[in-house]
Amino acid sequence: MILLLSRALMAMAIRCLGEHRYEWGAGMEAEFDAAWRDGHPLRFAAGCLWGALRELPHHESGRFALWSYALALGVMLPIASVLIFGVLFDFPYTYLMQAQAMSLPKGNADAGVFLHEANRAALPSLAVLIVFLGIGHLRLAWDMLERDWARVAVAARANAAITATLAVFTGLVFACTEPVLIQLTGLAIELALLAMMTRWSRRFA
Amino acid sequence: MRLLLVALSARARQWRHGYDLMKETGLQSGTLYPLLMRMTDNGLVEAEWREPSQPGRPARHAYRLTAKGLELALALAAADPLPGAKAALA
Repeated sequence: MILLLSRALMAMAIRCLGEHRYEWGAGMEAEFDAAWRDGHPLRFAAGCLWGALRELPHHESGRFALWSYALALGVMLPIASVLIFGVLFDFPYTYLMQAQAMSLPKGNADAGVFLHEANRAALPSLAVLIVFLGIGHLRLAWDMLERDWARVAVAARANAAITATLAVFTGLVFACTEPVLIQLTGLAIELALLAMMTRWSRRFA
Repeated sequence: MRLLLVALSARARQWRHGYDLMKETGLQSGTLYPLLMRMTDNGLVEAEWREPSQPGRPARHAYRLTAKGLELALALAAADPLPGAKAALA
């Protein structure tokens, strides 16, 4: 078990060192045999991984990996979580609810009565679109970490189409432009970041 | 880095392995290898693959000081010797 774990840590360390330090990764792996015979494979492997992680910001492919993870875990996953959980658990952030509230005159406690029944009927289908948008962001994060840029482009186009659909429908149904502008600004930032990462990835192709 | 310079300069012309250097200096692998990488980048250490001493074992990456590295080790030892460094360099 310890040997398996140690080997897994060594494999991660070698991957973290990347092409730039391939020889050093191979050198560490060769020394692993000596550490194993000496009875300290886990300590050696954990040290190698720690050293390799500290090396990441010092080479371009490492910086690229760090940025990819930061974007996937720091931007895409939170967006996906907010979208999906927002719909499932009625977080008050969702612009559908916001639109509903904004369509009311101030001081009226009876929420929703000023929305036309037909407009209210649009809510479930728009909510489903928001869930799809959340799932699209999960997919985007996954493909980005897999460095499959063709699939990233497909997922980004699908997300853009869903956002445009939501923008048009919420604008028309709820006569409310502010949430639409927030969505479109978010989409523009997201697409700009993805374009930047795709261009950067071409250096390693 | 001083510890490593002292360890490598003790047997300056001899190729040394990473795990042996760890045991000799007390440095962990996470400290030793980044140090060796920096020192190699700066031309202080040279690295080479060496055939295994026993058959069936993998080839090992080995390290030794370059002339520049040895010069630095001697200069540092002369300026501010570590305990035991003088004896090692003697």
